[in-house]
Amino acid sequence: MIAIEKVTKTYVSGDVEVKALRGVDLTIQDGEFISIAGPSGSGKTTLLNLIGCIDTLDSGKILIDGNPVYDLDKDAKALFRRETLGFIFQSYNLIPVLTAFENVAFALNLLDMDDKEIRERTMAILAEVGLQGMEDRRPNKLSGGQQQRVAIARALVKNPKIILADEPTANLDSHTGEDILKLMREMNEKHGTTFIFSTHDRMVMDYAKRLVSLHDGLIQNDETRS
Amino acid sequence: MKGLVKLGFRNLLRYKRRTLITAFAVAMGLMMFIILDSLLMGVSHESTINIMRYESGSGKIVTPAYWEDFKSTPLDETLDPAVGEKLTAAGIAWTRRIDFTGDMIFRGDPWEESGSLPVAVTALDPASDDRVFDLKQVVTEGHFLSPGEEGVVIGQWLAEDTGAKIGYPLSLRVKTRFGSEEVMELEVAGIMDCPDPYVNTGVVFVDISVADDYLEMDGLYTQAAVKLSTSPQPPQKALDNLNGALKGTGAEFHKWEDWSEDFVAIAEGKKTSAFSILSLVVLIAAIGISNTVLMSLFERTRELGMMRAMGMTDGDLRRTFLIEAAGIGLIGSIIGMLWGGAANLYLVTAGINYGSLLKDMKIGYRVSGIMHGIWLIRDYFIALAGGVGICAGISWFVTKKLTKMEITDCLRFV
Ligand SMILES: Nc1ncnc2c1ncn2[C@@H]1O[C@H](COP(=O)(O)OP(=O)(O)O)[C@@H](O)[C@H]1O
Ligand SMILES: [Mg+2]
Repeated sequence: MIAIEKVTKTYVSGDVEVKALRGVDLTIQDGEFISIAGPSGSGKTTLLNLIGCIDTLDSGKILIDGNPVYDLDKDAKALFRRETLGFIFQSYNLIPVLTAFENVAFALNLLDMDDKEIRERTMAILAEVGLQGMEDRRPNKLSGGQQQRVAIARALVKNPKIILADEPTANLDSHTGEDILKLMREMNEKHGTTFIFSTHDRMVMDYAKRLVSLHDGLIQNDETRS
Repeated sequence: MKGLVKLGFRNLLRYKRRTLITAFAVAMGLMMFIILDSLLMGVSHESTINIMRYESGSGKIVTPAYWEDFKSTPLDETLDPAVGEKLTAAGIAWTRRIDFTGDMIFRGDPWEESGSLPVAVTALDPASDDRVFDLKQVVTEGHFLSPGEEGVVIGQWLAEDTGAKIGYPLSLRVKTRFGSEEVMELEVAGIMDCPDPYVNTGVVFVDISVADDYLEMDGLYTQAAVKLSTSPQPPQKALDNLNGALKGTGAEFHKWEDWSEDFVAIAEGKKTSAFSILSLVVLIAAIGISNTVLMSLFERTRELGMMRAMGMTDGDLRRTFLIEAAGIGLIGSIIGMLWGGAANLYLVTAGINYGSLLKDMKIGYRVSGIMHGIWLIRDYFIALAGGVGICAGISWFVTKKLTKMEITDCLRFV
């Protein structure tokens, strides 16, 4: 369970202060498939980064399974992320010199898993996301949709509790985007992984089981769908 | 974490051009270091050999009073004849010598020009000189002195400077043991092409019995030159044997380096210049590698942000770049060693011919004509360890920049 309590975050660049989050309260249960929706600049990325322990909040608390992650030091956060969190980004962010297989295996290398297990898990997850036979391709030999599938596999392979996806379909055409969402939802149902994804796209929101709307750094609406 | 070496290797290939250019810069520096050290050490080694062959042997035995004042070659500080007997009894190769100074005067027929020149004179024993020295072997015109011969042997450069030819008469104005003036009337008997420029330009060799008459030495001499080994560092056993023979005679042995302070000073200076070359190498490598690491830091910022988000620690990150930089250093070192080795092969076999450029320069070195390099295996180890170490060290330093950057900033970076 993720408990977000009265979280604020202000960015200062030069003389300008931007209140990205103005006091966000949100509780997310294990296994949810939740969309953070809102126009550009509403604070979606900031919220995901804070849950993802790659940014620091100004006030409030974020507890993941009771663990006050906002309070951990740098290395402890890194360890927490490598075990518990998976990331998917708009621009895939694959490592260009590594093959699809190696990109996915990278997440397990971080956990110092043994080679046999790395191999098995990586091959299995790549097959699940529909990339069988493309394991040895480098990112530049894959389409955008395929690259995002590699990114999903990379996030999923270590069986994390939570996957954070920041506008995962924004770089894809609507058809491919839908495929990616279907895949994410399938994985959510199959593995019970919590998915939190941000978007400003109507079609994408329709896939969410719960839709949280963010506006100017505040939660405007929170609806659970069937 | 696992897989860092593979990742580093792939990234080196990803930026092939940059990797090679940086490696070449490192290689250049290391090659310069190898070449320079080889030449400096080669020249120093050759100088040592020449000093031993043509000037001092393994060293010379004199009285303590002589040593006090050896630069003015005092003729009245003679050795006890018992010293020579003991050396012979101990089976040590030795020869007697008298060093003194004089003015070489040349005038009239057949000289083309006349003049006088201060010279160092060495009186040697033609019968035993070759036990210690190799002068006889470098005589190229005329002949080496024979016992009792009223002649001189001089170096080629001195002959050229004065226009001396075989058979030309000359005089040496000298001071006797008791301080009175005397003029030795002699003839040019031999001209030698001595590789030691000090000997080749400024020393006149005469027969010791002839000198004895003129200098009123009564059969006494001031120096006993010994040859303990051909190596600059004689074996301890030979030194012990020598010291045993000298015990109780009151005479003392001084090694070749004691007689050639100018050279020793230069050889010390050489260490400094090899060191400055090494610092230059460090500088080249440092600039090249830090630039390279910085460039790839900027180009890969987002990708690195992702890796950090996935849980890579600052330590992992720094190791990643350390491996890459060390890889560049390794490539650079290997190329540098190959280049340096190839260049050195030329220096060792052919050498650098600088002609008589340094003939009139009293720089302390005892080489003439060609400078040769030598093989210094340790330099190749220094090159390897230095190249890799410097690159790795610099990258460690530069990567700090990245770890200070927020992950979110890395990810937003375009
Ligand atoms: N590092 C930053 N420095 C300054 N301002 C920032 C920074 N990150 C985000 N912001 C600002 O904070 C607000 C919220 O940004 P963000 O969370 O990225 O919104 P969204 O993802 O919904 O588009 C925006 O006005 C944005 O310009
Ligand atoms: Mg955003």
